[in-house]
Amino acid sequence: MMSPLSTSHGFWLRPRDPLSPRERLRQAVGDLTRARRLQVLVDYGFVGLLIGLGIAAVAVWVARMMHVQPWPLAGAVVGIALVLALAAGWWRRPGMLEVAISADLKLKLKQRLSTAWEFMTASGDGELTERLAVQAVNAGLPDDPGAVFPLRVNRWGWLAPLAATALLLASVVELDRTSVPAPRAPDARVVSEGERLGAFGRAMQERAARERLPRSARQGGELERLGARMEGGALSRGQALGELRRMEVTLDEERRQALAEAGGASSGSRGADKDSRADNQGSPGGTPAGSGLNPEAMLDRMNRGGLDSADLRALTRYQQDLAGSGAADQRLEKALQSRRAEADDALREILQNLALVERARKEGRELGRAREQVLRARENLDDAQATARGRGPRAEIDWDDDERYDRDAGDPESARADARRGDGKGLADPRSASRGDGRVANERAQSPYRPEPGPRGPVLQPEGELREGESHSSHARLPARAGRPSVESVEMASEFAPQVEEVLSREHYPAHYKEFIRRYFLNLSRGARGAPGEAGGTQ
Amino acid sequence: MNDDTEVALGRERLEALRRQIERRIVGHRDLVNGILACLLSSGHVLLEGVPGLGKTLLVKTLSDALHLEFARIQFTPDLMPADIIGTQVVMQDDAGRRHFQFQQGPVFTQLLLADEINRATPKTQSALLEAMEEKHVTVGRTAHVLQEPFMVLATQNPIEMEGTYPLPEAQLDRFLLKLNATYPDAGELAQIVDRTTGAPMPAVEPVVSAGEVLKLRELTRSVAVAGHVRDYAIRMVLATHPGSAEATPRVRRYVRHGASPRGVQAIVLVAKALALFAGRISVSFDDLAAAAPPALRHRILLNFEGEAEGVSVEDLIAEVVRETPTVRDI
Repeated sequence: MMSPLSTSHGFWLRPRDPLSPRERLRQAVGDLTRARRLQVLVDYGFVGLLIGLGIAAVAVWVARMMHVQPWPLAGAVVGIALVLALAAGWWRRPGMLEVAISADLKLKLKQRLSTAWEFMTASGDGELTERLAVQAVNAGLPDDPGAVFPLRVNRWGWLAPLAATALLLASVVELDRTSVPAPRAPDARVVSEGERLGAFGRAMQERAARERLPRSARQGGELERLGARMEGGALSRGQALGELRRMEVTLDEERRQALAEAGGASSGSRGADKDSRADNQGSPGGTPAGSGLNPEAMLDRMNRGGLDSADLRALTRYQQDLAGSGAADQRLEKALQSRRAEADDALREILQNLALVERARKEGRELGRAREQVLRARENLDDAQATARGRGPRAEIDWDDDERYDRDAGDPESARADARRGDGKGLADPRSASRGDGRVANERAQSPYRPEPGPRGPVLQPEGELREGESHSSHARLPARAGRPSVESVEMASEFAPQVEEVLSREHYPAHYKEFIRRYFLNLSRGARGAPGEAGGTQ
Repeated sequence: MNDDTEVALGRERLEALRRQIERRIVGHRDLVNGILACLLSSGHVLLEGVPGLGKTLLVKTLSDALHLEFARIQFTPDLMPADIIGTQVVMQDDAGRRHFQFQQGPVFTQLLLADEINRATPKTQSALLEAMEEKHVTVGRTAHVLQEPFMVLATQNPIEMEGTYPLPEAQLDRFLLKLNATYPDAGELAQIVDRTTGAPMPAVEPVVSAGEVLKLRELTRSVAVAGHVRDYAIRMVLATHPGSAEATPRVRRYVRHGASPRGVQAIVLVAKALALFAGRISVSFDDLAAAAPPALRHRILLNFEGEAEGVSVEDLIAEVVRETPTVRDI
């Protein structure tokens, strides 16, 4: 007979478990079942993790190729796989008898536990059941079910780090480097658009340097670099479209910030917010440039000695323009009166703010034109998204405004004269140069980036027989041949040679393209020195 | 430790019996275990082995250790059924009237040694069929019940095939187990030499009575077999059938007939006895696996290809035991 007291591993003598053999058996099988089910869930969890990571690696790879954010996708895939695996684990959870059989095999109990459990659940109370329960208890039921069915990393779990590594590689490996090293045949349209964008970027940088527009200078440089990469054949059409989309977003953002700065400066500089609103509406008549003012030049003159009578007349005219448009600036009026009384501090402040506003507006216009160029490049590269959008935003782009900007920046007086010549409204009407102005429309042909209007394309009228007794005819007009850009050709090739090394070390290009690019520009320089008339200089 | 008093007592009696047998028999532990299991399972044993391995001595020793009646029949080709069962003889009473009276044959005993059973003709061999299966003998219109416990221990020699009559399948199936006597190893041989060439053989005392044997049989039948354990025995027997889904490729190729339902009965009964030997009141997978070879080896019939290629039935059974899953869907 067993003693009523049994020694435990501790110091104290403890009373023997008061549970009957049957209850002990029930409790042991219950504990074992919980441990085993948890183990099964963890096993299935590892399977789900492995599958999820594997699929996520592929998904991340594909997402990166499609320029979609990969990490949310990867997270969703892993999460779904885990949930499905855990659901499957719960669905396939073992029954209590199965657990008892497994425990028997693991503990080498010679089927005492499972036999007792089966008889207990099937036969209920009975002498044999009681004897079997006693036999199972005496055989040694486990104290710690977790030791029988421990939570372990199964073989799927050991493979999970491999899948995680694959996922990591899929997210960091540069897709450009994974392409076949053989040089790719450059896409003629990408090259051509690259040339155009590069030329625009350089011109933009020149204008920005002249006007001291830092945002435009920076973005012009970016455009020039993008154009060079496209022109050099480093980008496929898809990659070029991706870069152009990113460029468009950046330009949009920069333009918005510039306009916001213009709005902020104008509201800070003037008590009359009406003028600020007029600026934000893009109405040139309410701006200093639209009135023929050059605030920075005036400030220079004021700092050197003082404003002359022409400046005062221009300011007076500007103030009258504002009053005429219903946006009278009381501060300016007072400042002008004070100026007559030789107190010019207020006027200096107004001129400083006007200069800031003017510069920000110029930035906005310059960046808007750059964005238009990028959008046009996307359209020309058959970007369906850009083409669809082009029907909307493109219609808002006012080439006339750009024309005016160029001319105003160069010669304010001539711009004013033009405005007076146009329809008699001149500066009195701030919206005199708005869209639909016949005079300005005539000047469109002068745009340096706009193709010359050519004849309309030929008409096609194909006719034929589709099948017996059924004829078909259609009528279509082919697009007109692209016009020749009217911008002057400027020799630039010789300037590239000294810059090529610097650019190659600063920018990232695929390794196998670096030598190609270097040779290309060196050849350009050599060609330009050898035969100036035939130089491959870009415009 | 097992608290089951009845089982403990049974084990104690069996150990005493085993000790008595070991006083005279060297080695042959599997053989002794098989015979005892058969005794507790109410079955009969076919012992096969070359001459001189101690088969007959083992049976005689067992009979000495048990308080049971013992008889021996030496099977020869001229042995007749009546020599086994008995015959009607004419008797004259005191009044001078004559009448037939049944004279019991040697089968009317409790332990029957059928020595070299394959030397008798099939007709004589089959005289034992009814006795083995039904535990009674019918002579004329009268059925004579045999005493319990009744057990037949038959021996046969596998090498001397000249003038022998292999047991028919129906006869073989009546034997619960077929046990193979193997050669002793060097240590056992040394003990055999010492025991048999010196002092007279030690005497064996009877330690288990017929009533105790019957009680042990009852106890054996009360050993529990869980459903999933029983299913393992069924799967093993099904795996010996060439047309079954459980059959192994070699069984499909070389076996003509697999084990009959008596095969499952034999496996489970012997497994129960083995569990009792171990002091358990429930059968384990290991018990079934241990019971399978002696219970199946005479119940599997090879086809021509198997015979021609010399395929061993023992190997096939080992393969079946090895490849049959103990638990399904876990």
